[in-house]
Amino acid sequence: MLDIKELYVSYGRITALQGVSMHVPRSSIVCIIGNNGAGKSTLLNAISGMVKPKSGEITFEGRPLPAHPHQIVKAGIVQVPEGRQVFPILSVDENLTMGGYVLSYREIRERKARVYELFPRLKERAGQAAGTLSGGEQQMLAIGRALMSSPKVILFDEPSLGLAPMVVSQVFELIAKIKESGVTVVLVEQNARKALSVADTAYVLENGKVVLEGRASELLENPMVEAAYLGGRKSA
Amino acid sequence: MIIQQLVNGFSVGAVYALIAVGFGLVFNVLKFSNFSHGSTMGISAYIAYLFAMKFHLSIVPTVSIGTIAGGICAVLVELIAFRPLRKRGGQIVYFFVTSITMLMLLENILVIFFGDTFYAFPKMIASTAITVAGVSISTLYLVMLGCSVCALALLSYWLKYTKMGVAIRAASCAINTCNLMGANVDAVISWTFFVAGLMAGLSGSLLGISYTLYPQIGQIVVKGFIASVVGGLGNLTGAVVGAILLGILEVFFIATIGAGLTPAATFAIMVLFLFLRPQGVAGTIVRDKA
Repeated sequence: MLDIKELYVSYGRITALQGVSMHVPRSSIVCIIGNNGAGKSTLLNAISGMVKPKSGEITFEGRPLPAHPHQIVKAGIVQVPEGRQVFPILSVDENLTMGGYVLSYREIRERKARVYELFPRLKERAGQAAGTLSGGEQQMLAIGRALMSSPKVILFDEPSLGLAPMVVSQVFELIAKIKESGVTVVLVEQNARKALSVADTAYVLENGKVVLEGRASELLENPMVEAAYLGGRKSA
Repeated sequence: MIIQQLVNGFSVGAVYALIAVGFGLVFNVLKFSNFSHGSTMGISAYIAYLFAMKFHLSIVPTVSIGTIAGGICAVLVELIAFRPLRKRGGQIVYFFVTSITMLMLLENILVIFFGDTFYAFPKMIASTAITVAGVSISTLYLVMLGCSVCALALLSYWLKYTKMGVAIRAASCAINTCNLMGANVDAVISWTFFVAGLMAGLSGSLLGISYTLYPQIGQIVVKGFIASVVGGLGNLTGAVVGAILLGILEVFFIATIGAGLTPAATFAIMVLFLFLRPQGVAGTIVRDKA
């Protein structure tokens, strides 16, 4: 569904991605693990159109991706950015409006009803400024906001960052649920064990290159992955 | 007498509020103090004047033309001066310097075309007064107050209930995230300038009609800036509060220390605010609301 071929991205003289290729099948969860600075967020931002690749190609449903971020959202790819990035001074409801920006007013109303059904907590707080929500609630809002535009692909950038362990589990359950509803998920995550346990396929990025790829369940057993990303030993 | 002064100050403050809100809108989204807002005021006031003279227009069409001219002028200024900077990723200070350059440039273009003289709009408002409960309010001040309040109410409705309005407020939090949500940043910024320009056009033509028209009329933008600082830069509700406060203070300063010293006194108040309360009046008012 989403194909990345030989993608190079650089910021000035620093090369962030060096020939990354990746295949994201429909209705699956693809996770990308790697250390800080490996190029994970850059990859997501390149897909979202926020950074321009130096070379390489990204195709979506067989066609090249449009050039601008707003066109990419319209095409059906939306990002849940790192740190949630809800608009703090806007109300919960207005944040959802922003998520549905590419839709008509009528569609926004309909989608909002669906999102509120999925997250009754957000409905309770619809009029509250998003900045006053707890971290977990903000993450729900960020996910609800992404669901507003009825995307085909959702890109998650570190969804577990800064959340309490119980909330992290909820977030991963939600991601699994999103996949079951037919949406394709690309998941960038520091919490490699959680990410691999929910994903179908996985890629390991190091210094802007894919060093390992395969089925997530296999990577979970891979000694190299275990040593580098899973803390060296299996948890009991 | 004091109540009368209060009402006059309130009316003048309402026009300053238009300036301050227009100024604040651009500040919120692009984070720089846009002094070219003043030239938008000036140009639209002159355009309103030209139309009023040529077609013998009454106040409503004159002010409407001035308002729309302001919107168009601001969009053009953004397109010509600020967009190229933005595309090249210029620092905030470049935007600031550019805005002052545009103010001076456009002001002097007005001088070239109209000369450095004063113009008076044809008489549009009868110089009568309405007496309510012993306080007589001039029709002129009532018109200024009415126009400003209506414009501010419409703006606040638009910012709250339309997609573009919400997007502009979202962009003031994080313009990149706004982009990630599917909003076209160029369009959001154009709209920001358009709406700010409408406010500039309205305030420019109202000031021109009420007083006189001269190329430096745009320098009244400084009042909007002071009001924004007093109210808390980046906060529209604060800007309105700051502007009304400034209008009232000015009227009282003029009555007590005279018109000559009034600008110095208002600047002193701004400096005082920067020292003692840089977050402005809104620092508390708005947080209470949130």
